[in-house]
Amino acid sequence: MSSKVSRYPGTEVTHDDIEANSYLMTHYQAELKYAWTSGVATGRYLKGLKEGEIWGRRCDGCGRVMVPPRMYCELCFRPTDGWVKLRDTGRVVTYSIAYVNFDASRRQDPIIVAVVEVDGASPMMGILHLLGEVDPEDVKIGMRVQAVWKKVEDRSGAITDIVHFRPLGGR
Amino acid sequence: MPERVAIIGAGYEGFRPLVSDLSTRELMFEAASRAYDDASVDPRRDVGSFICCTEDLWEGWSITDEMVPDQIGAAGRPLCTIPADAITGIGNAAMHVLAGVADVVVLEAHSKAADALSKKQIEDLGQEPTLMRPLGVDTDTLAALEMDGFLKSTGYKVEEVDEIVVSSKRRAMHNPRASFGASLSKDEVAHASAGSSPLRKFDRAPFAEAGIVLVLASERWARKNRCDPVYLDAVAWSSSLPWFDGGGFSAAGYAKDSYSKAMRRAGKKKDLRAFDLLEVDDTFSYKALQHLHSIAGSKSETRRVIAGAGPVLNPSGGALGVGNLLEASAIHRLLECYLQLKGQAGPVQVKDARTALVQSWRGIPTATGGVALLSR
Ligand SMILES: [Zn+2]
Repeated sequence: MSSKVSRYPGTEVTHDDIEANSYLMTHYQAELKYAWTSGVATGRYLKGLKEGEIWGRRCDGCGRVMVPPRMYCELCFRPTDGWVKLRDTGRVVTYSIAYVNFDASRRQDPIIVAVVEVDGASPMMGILHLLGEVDPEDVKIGMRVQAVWKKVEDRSGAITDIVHFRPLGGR
Repeated sequence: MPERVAIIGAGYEGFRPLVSDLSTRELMFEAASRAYDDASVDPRRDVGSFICCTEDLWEGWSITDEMVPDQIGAAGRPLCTIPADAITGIGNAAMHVLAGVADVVVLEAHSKAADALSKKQIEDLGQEPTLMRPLGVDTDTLAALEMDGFLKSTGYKVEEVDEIVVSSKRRAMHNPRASFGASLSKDEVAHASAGSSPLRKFDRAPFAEAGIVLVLASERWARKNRCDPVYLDAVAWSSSLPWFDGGGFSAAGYAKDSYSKAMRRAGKKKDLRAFDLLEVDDTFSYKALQHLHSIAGSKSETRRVIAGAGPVLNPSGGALGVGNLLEASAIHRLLECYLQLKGQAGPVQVKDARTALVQSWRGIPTATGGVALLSR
């Protein structure tokens, strides 16, 4: 219906009006900062990353090994039972070749975003991360990959201590 | 008489200025596990609906619904979040029970206040953006304006506010859930530094962290399963005109209105002597006096309660003693009343407590709050 209206009643506010501050504008920039408590599970996980290790949690109720780890099993609703050191290899279960950044701006070279099902964890238990050292056209679902770690001295106990996952030789 | 809603279990964790060892989710899991044990329910089997009261800005992430189910046993189950104080949450939980949506409903709320480093900015975002926020007035100064208006329009003395601070801080010394107990003299309170007069250091409740879970059920379900509940006789909530929009200072309209509605719903005559204890919002000291005055209906009745002639006012130590728990403020008051009515309040137990009233407020700069009535 609105496509038939050529002119609306009232005074149009144009982009130029806004640029020229012709109308009352209020600007308020809130800088909100948080310091989230990592807690037991994420704290141990991040410590492991700093040491070049991926740790999961085991639930003896359902037998799953969960990564990222958590101190409770959401299916059984009980505390999880123990830590499991996982391998830093896995398999791509889904991926996207992204030409956009976090802020939706365009990028020339794409990043390859993937979920990697980690070896030793239960099926579909995976890490969201980046793929590297691979051409976009060569990425396949099920592809075997391995973590590429930052140098020990550069690690900070963060998910970015893994630079990316790259194809595992001999796939 | 209509069917009542039973509170069949409660659990909590935290109640410290900073819970440094647990994440928000782990805090919630601990509280939920204890509540389900107290209620003897299996959340994966018995609970039909889960409600969480949480505000995205305090959490620091959007669409918090996605972040809460797993740790309270609600994965793959009906769950909703309500961005409001838990007094609204328990109203919604009661509706789920009474409307037959679910026989057993879980209410969760928590504060991880120390995680939010920009508390002032979050509060400032609550100010109207065109006419208020550009002036750069701190929210505590807004409280100071209301405090001044309240005292001048009602004739209460600032010494009566001091008395509430002193007694809340003293009660909190005995409450294991309170972080801010202190043995203060009225003189110390009166001469504390003022940020914006007349509001002084002790007039504002400091922040604290806790996770709290209540399990509610229909009266029928509770009887069938041989529970030993506390009953929620009525709950009502309301929003009124804020004082800065012309709502007036002397009474908090939302408190007055909610109290009237809740008492009518419970079939009770408005008389605070019907209760053994009150847990009244005291996020700011003068608000406790204003809220009490709003439900008591007169200065003489308010003064009678403060003088200790019954019911007991804020035996927990209130927010002034326990801390400001953000959206978990009401559920903390409900928890204290639940423990009181079950005879489990330990050192702060009110003798032979059978009936309790909770009055809660969404916090500055709102004029939203509610009242819940409990009995056993
Ligand atoms: Zn399990």
